[in-house]
Amino acid sequence: MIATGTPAGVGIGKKPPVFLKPGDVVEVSVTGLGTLRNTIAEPTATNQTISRVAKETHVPISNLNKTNGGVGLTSINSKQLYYRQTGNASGPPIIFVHGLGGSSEFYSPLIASLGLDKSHSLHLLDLEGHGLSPTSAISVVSISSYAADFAALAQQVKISGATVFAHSMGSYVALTLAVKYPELVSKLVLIGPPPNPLPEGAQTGSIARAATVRASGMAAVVDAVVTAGASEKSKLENPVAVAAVRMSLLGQDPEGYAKGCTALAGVTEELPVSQIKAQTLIITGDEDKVSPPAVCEKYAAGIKGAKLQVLQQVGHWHNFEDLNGVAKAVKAFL
Amino acid sequence: MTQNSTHAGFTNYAAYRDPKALGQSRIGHLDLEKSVIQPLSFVSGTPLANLYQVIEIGESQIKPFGEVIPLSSVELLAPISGRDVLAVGKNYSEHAKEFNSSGYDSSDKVDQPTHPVIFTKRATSIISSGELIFPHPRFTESCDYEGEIGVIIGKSGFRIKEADAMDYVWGYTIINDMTARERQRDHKQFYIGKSPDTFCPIVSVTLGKVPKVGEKRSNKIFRVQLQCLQANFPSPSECKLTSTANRAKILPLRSSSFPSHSSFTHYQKDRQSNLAT
Repeated sequence: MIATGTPAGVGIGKKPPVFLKPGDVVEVSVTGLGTLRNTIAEPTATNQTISRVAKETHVPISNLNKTNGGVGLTSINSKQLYYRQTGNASGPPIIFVHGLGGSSEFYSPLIASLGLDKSHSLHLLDLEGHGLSPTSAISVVSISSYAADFAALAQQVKISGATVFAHSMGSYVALTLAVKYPELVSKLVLIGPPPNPLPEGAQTGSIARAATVRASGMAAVVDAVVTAGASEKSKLENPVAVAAVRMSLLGQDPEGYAKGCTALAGVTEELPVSQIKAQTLIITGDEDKVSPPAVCEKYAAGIKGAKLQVLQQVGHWHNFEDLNGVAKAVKAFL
Repeated sequence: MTQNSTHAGFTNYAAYRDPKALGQSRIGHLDLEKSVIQPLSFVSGTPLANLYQVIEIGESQIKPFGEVIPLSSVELLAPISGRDVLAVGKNYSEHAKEFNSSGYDSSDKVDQPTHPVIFTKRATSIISSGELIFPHPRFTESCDYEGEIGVIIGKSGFRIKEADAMDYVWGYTIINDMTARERQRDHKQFYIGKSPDTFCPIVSVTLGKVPKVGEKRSNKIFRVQLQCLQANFPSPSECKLTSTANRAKILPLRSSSFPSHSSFTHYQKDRQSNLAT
């Protein structure tokens, strides 16, 4: 903007000169443009610029645009996260933990298929940086931080003795909850839990994937995830499942997903699953490369009384690939 | 990487474009000995995109992240952008004298101003070290340079006590306050002569720490700055000569990254030959 200079008639032009005092009102009127009007503040007034400048930040918050700046988010553990409580409020609680590159929508088909909304109180949370949950650059994300968010949520909405569903990386979160807050978790449903701990090669791969999406976005990894994640049968006969996986991934914010990759890579030490008291069901697919049956057998052997269900011709995106198979196993367990 | 390594030793902040991420702006630590950049991130792993983030979160919230990249593979950027630069005119007595006696000073009748001369350089004039300065033919025939230390203010404040002033200083950089002399003279206010596009080169690396007098740093470019600071601000020409001489002598950098005094001389020669034809 170019200020074009004032016409004559300013304070020093008057005789004697007039200088502005607190309470004086200055009006500048231009024909066709209207009037600019400001009052001179008292000397004791606060300098409003200071508070405005103090609020300015250069720390980016990723994934905030999806909620138009945070509309509909819930404050949990000093973070704004996307949380929904649905279903039968007086029913027993179920907490859903999705996996890397997923969102709480991963469970929508299962909820509908089993009519869980009629029987249970459902608590759906998008992990920080995933789905509709934003993440600030100063927020360090790890399996522990995800678990702490769920623990804070449980305290906030007063849940205990819940059934916790977890998929893939979310299994680490659920296992952490079951170990640290045994009163919170009465039943565990682990769908495709990755090895405990994550093997070194997978750690390195996960860190590399974080770098890839930070540099090139989600499109750079979606093909690899689908190729490795879905079963041969799903790829040939279940294009809707493949599309669901692709949409789940492509809908993620790259920074939120990258942080998830880093959280996953951080599982370098074995979680003490033998401490778990919760009744546990483990579900995987026989073609699941992240969570092969052998890995799940180890979990089943380590967690007292755990049951294992291996679905045939299913990969790592179980709920999308074989909804009926998962639903059947879960129904018998619940 | 250990936790401890996140807290020290990565304070030669260089702004550069990441060739692997569509040229997005990034901040890294420039290792002058090895001519490599160590990318830096928030502790969360989110890459640092600009110096404003570095200043806001502080050294303890920053960690090295990812593989080092050769300095030669990146384009360096000015450390700050988007904001006008505040400048102090006639801050050094020797320069005040040379300026006032040059015939280009229409701001005062005497060398030494009774009050500090404060002016701004337009944000659009900022370029990085190594970028070409456009000579603005037909706008100026008296392009001049001024070698200066840039003091980066790291936090906002109001009615700051003089004794607390240094708490607000975040770091230092090098700036060339390019000036169109006849514009500075003829327009009375300095702004227009100081603000042509490309007239505010700033070196890409900033020292994000207020050095104590006598403190030794391994980073040579800042040893140069410290010499200037510790000498209680000698005349700018002295400061400039010290820095250019040292840079030319000891810095293992390509001349295109950090142009030396001699590259300026070449430019001046070219311009004169152009004018002659």
